[in-house]
Amino acid sequence: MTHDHPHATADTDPTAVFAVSRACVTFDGECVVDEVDLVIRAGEVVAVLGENGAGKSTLVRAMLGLTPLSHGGVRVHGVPVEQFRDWDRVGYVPQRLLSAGAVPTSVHEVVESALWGPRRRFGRTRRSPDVERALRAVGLWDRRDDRMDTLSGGQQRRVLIARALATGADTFVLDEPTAGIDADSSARLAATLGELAASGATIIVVTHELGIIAPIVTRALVLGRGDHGSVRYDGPPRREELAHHHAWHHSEELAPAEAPPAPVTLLEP
Amino acid sequence: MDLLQYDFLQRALIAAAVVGLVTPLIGVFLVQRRLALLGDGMGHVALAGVGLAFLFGTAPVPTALVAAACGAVIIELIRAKSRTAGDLALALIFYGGIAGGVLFTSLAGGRSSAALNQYLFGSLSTVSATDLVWLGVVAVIVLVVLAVFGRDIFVLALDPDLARTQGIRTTATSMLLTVLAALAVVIGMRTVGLLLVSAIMIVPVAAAQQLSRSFRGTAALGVVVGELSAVLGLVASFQLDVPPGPAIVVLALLFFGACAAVAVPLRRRRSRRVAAARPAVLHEEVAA
Repeated sequence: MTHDHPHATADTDPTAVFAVSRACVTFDGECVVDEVDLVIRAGEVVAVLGENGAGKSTLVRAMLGLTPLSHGGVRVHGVPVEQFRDWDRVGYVPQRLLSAGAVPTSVHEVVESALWGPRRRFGRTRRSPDVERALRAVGLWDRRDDRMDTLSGGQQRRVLIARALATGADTFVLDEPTAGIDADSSARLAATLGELAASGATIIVVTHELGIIAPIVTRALVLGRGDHGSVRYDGPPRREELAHHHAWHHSEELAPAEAPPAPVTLLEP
Repeated sequence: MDLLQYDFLQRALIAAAVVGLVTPLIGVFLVQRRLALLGDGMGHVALAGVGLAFLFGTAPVPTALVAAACGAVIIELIRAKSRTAGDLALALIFYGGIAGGVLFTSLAGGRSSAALNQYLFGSLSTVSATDLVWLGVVAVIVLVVLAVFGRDIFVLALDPDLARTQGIRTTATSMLLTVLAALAVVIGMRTVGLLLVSAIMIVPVAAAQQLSRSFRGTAALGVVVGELSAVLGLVASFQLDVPPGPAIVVLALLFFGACAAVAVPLRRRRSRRVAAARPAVLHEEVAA
């Protein structure tokens, strides 16, 4: 990637996938993300941790250009996020689809639609090998013709991961991928993420707990409200450091209001 | 078929066939985007256009086309600003449309009020050759736009955030769908009428989704139901001497009822089959 703004230090780093500088997000006058400086380099596996309301999802959404910043900037591969066009390189995995079920939509269609957009308007994607490979990777190829809304929550999450895989992205952003999913799905998820990490992908995971992804995480970012910006801790995922910043560890965690109470059976001993 | 010896009926049948093909294709996106009632509002706005056409002596179809398209753009601009303001603005524009339509028509005087009825509930005998040309042109435009941008609209309706991270311009795409709905209203106004045109967009889709497992399947079956309702409904309206709009919509609703009746046992059998093939899947939900 070219770096056309020599005065901005983070942009001159050619391995920076995301460069966040002094980012603030304000909702109704309240600072949700405050003064975040962050450079995420190619190949890093970053866990974004913190309590509910710490701004984890908001920060990640701002990095993807989904939430406007009130101050500061985000660059993706050296380009300001508002002008970034190479979205095939970034696979975003939301917690759930906003509108699954309004019209019956097959699993295959959900994954296939990852290939659609301004760049590929006409090619036929019905028998795309990319879709088959992605659905096989998450173990749902034999459910491809089923309606998305007949799958369990964990299976739907795996379909959304397949969606990100199908584009051939090298950067993956996952929002709470393990929250409220069954043991089989989280084991498969961990395996898939492990393979991606081994292949050199950049992975950013918003999560309440390291849990099953702990073995592959190279960096932990703990967010919280404080006097000195949102970042409480940024460094290697050492257990004692995290425990210090995670007074809430484990069961005090409250489930988000709209979601069914999430079973906190993530595979940590 | 001796029905075809009447020129006016030939034209009405061609118009109905176009309606049955095009409107469910827009409707399936409207349902997916949870805007099933948008077509209704666009119909009201188009009615103001018809009233203006009577008042100023312009051609009704193109005037309604301009009114509906302008209404679509205004609604979308307000919706983009704020969701709650958008809901209220939608209501105001719709009431304005229907009140304006009737008011302008009455001001125009003469036989306009009788003609208004034909635009409200459709008409067998008044589809002119010029109307057919307008219909054909608009239908081709709609189909070409869908072929190019339909996939973008699908992703937007699936999840706006995903659409944006795929580089899809969400506001523009959203506006495109609303304008397409306005065009579909104009396509349906002569045959089905402006008060019921939304039904022929939505009801065939509602029928189709009882039976299908995919978006493409819903769209295809929706077109089949739309065509059957439009063409058979038109023939029935001729035989029974009733306006075509209500005949077409009642037929579509009957198709919906039939599809829903078939769907219940079908779904039960499918879930039994899935359960037999994969006992773990059903338990997973309980265990999770």
